[in-house]
Amino acid sequence: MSLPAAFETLGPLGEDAGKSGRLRLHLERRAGQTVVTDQYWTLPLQVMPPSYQDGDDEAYIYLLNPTGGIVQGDRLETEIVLGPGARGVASTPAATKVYRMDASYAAERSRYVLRGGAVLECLPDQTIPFAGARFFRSTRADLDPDSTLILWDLLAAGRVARGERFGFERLFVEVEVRVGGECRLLDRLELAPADGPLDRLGLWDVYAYYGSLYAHSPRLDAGLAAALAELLEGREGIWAGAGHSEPHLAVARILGHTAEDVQALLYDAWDLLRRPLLGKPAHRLRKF
Amino acid sequence: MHTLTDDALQSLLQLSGAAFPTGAFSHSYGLETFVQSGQVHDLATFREWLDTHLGAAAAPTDGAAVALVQRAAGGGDWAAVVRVDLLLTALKLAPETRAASLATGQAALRAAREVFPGPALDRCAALVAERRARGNAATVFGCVAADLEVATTTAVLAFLWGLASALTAVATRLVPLGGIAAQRLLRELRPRIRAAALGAEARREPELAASAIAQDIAALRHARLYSRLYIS
Repeated sequence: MSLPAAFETLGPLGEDAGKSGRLRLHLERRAGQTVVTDQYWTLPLQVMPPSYQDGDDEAYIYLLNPTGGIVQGDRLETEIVLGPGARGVASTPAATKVYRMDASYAAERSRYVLRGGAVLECLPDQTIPFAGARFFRSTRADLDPDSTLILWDLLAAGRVARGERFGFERLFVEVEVRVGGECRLLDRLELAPADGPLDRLGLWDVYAYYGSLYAHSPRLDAGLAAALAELLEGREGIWAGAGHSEPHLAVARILGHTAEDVQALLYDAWDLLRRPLLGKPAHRLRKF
Repeated sequence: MHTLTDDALQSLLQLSGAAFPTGAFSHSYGLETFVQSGQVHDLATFREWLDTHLGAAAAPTDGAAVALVQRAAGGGDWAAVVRVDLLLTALKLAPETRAASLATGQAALRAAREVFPGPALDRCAALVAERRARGNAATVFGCVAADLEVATTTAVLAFLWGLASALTAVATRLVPLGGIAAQRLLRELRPRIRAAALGAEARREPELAASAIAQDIAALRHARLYSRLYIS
């Protein structure tokens, strides 16, 4: 398992601190409905029974961490597999807090496998790294060429409302999108304020929230990618853009002053993509 | 410890020079977007932009790749050269940035095969022709460096210095900056470029990362600018 040296030098994550959570979920299409055919989880990872918020076959899955946040030593591994034709939305009930760490770090690895014409919309709440947090997060989506993925991520500079920005020690966040076994995109961010301030021109500038969005679909074409870019570039008070570097794959980056600004734009981007790709509008995700 | 021979020095100067036909001087890597938005408007703001570009974008991706490719090619590990080249392609998020790296890389490959023929470069060209590698600019530079047998630090430094020099020339025209002031800036940035090169050289494959978020957004937005002087 590849890990940056900055985390390796903190030593292996063992049983003496934090928790080892595993979650495995298989979704299959059965009799016109997406159902859970296999699930396994250990705390602190947990999954709620699926709901059907669109009134159709698509299952809404909420992944939760009942301990309230990620602490040092935590190693969390999630795997969601969708069989051909299965459709799912994966979200969270609340923000993910990553707490202060003084000796070690925490690692979260997620893998999504989409077979055939499966659809996964992965739309988690924001991640808030507290002062002193050290966090490695790796997300990998393995897609068949016919499958559709919409994945967003929202990262705060810290507990911004308390005036805390870039107080975390080190974040390494990667998202890899593989299509038909080939790596098409690898978005890797290494954020370590000690190596140089992050609120500089060209990095986070004056912004406190960073949103990203990755979309793949056999129906995603240059026209849709251009519409996405137009939506993102036109928003006031936001610095955002989108591009289409590989066929059927779009990527967007958004910087904003508030979580609400970035979240609202992510919802609008989701809606813009969802209508042509899934044939239905987006809506506010129900929270619990 | 390698000593930089006169021959290697001359080769690196030629390879990094403005006259070497790679097309590197037609790319702004999103700087043009920042100039049009007014965020880069003088020497101080360009300095901040360039420092970020070298430290958070170019060094941890291309700079690191030059070192990894040079070592792998020098040691005959061509699977690693291909892996690094594909990793580098995947890390370039903005379509224009990805295209710039491939276009300048392939132009450099064509020119370098005529000017600096060598076994590593030949192998690199074959891998690109077989479509196993894409031929990013840093990959080609790393292969030439392997043939020249220069120290890895020297190769990375030459690559990043060449980029800084090209971007300074672009800024001179775009911002615009005075020619002397721009060259003085390049001179003043020497310790930063060297630090970026040393940081780049220490990176392994899992540590290649492109973290200049606002610059990536500028590179994405460049494709839709109303009028453009530069390709990226």
